[in-house]
Amino acid sequence: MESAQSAVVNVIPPTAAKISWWGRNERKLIPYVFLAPFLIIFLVFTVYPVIDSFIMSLHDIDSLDAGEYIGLDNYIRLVTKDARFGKSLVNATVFGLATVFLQLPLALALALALNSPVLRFRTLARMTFFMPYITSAVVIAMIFRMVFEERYGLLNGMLGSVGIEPIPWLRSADWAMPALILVGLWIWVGSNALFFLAGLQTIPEELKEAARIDGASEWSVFRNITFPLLRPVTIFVITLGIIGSFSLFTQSFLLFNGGSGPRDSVLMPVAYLYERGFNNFKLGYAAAVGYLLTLIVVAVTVVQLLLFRIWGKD
Amino acid sequence: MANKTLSRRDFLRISAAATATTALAGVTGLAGAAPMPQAEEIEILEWAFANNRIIWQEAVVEQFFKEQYPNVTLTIENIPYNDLWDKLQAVFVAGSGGPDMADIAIHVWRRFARGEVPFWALDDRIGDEKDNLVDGSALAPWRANGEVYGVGNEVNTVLMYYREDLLSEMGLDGAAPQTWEELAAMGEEIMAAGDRKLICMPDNTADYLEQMLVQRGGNFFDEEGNPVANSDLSAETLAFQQDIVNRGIAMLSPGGDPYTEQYYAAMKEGAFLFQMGAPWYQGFMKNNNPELEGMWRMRLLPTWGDGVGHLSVQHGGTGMAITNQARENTLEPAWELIRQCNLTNEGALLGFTLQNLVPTYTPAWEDPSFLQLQDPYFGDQLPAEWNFKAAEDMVVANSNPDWQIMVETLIRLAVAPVLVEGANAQESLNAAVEEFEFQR
Repeated sequence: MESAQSAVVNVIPPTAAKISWWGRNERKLIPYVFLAPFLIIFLVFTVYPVIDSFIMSLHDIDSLDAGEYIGLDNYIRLVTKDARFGKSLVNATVFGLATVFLQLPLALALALALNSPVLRFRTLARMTFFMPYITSAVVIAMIFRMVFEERYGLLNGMLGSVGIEPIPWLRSADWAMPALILVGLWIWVGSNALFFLAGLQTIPEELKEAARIDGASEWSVFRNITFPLLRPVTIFVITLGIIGSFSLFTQSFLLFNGGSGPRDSVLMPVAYLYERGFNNFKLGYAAAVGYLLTLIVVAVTVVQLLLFRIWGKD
Repeated sequence: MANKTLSRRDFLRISAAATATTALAGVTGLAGAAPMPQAEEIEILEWAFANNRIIWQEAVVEQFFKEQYPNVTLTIENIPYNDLWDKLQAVFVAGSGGPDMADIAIHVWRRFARGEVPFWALDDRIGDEKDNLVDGSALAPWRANGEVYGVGNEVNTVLMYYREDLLSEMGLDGAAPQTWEELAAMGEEIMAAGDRKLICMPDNTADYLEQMLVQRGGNFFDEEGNPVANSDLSAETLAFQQDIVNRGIAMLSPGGDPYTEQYYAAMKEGAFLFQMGAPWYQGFMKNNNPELEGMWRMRLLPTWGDGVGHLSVQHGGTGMAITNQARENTLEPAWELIRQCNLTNEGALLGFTLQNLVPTYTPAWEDPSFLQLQDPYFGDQLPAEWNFKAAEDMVVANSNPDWQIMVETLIRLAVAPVLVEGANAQESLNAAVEEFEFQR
């Protein structure tokens, strides 16, 4: 027994005073070492710009100089005087409504079609509808600039073949937003349909079978079983759609040749931020646009989620 | 930080240091019977946006610059037009990451021309050569706070171009109309002869409005920098554009402006028979519609009925500049490259033969190769002759740091609504200037 005890004593490490600092703290520090690469990048490229741009938004900057501190003047001017910012929010809202009321029903209908057992070449069809989503926004904008061209465009050519006069899609304040919405439909209906399709495939077939055996019509099955069970996907898609509407930039910017469309008809908040910051060099003001836009998107999303919670309780 | 000036003293100091280092190294080498040391390898990075200018600068490097600086390598990154300005702005704000040199378009230069200018001032280096340059095209556009920060190589005389072949078929002479009113009258004849139009009026750029306005004595800004884009003259000019569109003489530019694929398609089709543009625009015509070689002719701009009007107007142009982020060992070769491109007969004439751009360096004008060059695209006309005539009566628009805001506002609230939707020209221009005052 004694010899056993002395053997134990022999394997005990030297006294604490001889253990290195790293040895004593290794277990505590190792997780932070592993996290460090991400944290450093996050701090440098996210946290620092977020803080710095907020400070920038409190300054009047119109050159490479540091600018003059003006407190909340940029925000006050944006909210109380800047009609263009207001117009950009209205445009984003219109596009968002089109997303909810046009894009999503079409996406759902497409998902139902793609989920149909009678559809042949289902994988090819899914891939085809998903292609616009993974196509470069620049390429899409360039193609649609040609499609919408008044004189030589594909769309007016087709409309002309049935006797419809050429429509100035990109030139008229009345037609610019419909043109942008059409592009949005082309890009996002397919990808949203895949979200719905994923949701449809999680709904147990037995539920629908049971309803049908009880005499429910297909419409009744959809209305009472399929659609309610798709609620999480619907919330997800609508939330993404609304946020996407407020952050839309590339498509509108390129489709309208770097402009905001006739009479600002397709001016989007991010495009306005870009215009003020990069074209006009009003960096402080552009930073304020960014912050205000973030607040608005957060508020809209919170309201939306609250409404969905109420819907969920029903 | 104060504006940096690349003075003679700076260059002397750098050159002396380089020379001393080389000499010392040479002596050491001889003493040790070691191989001669190589000159320091220097890489200059330049950001540019125009293929034709890149070809020209690389040709200058290959033919002349390399002899003097065999140890210097020039790398030119070709960056899309709009991206270039965003990237430059980002690196200037960041204070690092920028190139040693940049090609800067006149219109964009203005946004860098306030506060601390992020380029080296070149006045001391240009020295007396300034007397050999066309100031309005070579230096004035890149001047800020009394200093010159870039050198432009081209005299951007806007000319009128017309389809000689199609007009001849109609029994018309494109060189005949001397005023815009006479040109509009010719437009009636063209319209009566078929589906073709006189000219395109762009609704997505204010280029034509500015050119026609400045040509007849107006401006977007007065000399004190006040906005005057809603002057009576401006309203009359825009109303004239609207009138010829409404009468069917002119068409709206396919694609919105004269730089789109749709516009070049219409040009190829012969949908319009006249267009305006600076010499650099001739490159766009040739690149996009080479098959129209020999069919176009150039001429001076028509004046206005009241006898007022210059025969040409300055439009566009690009200058070479050294950024304030240039590394010290690149300063001297960078300046030397600018000098060889812009302030030597060889560089200037190379630019002319490659690009049809009339050099701003006037001694090059004496060279027979410059005077005698014929351009087959324009029926073997002599570009030098026409550009000389234009340069004699070329007017330059007043510059302003807020020019970009003004142009964007005018397109949005005046040019497009007036030409496309038939809005009133004066009211639209008033609204645009009011909005400009808010936005600036």
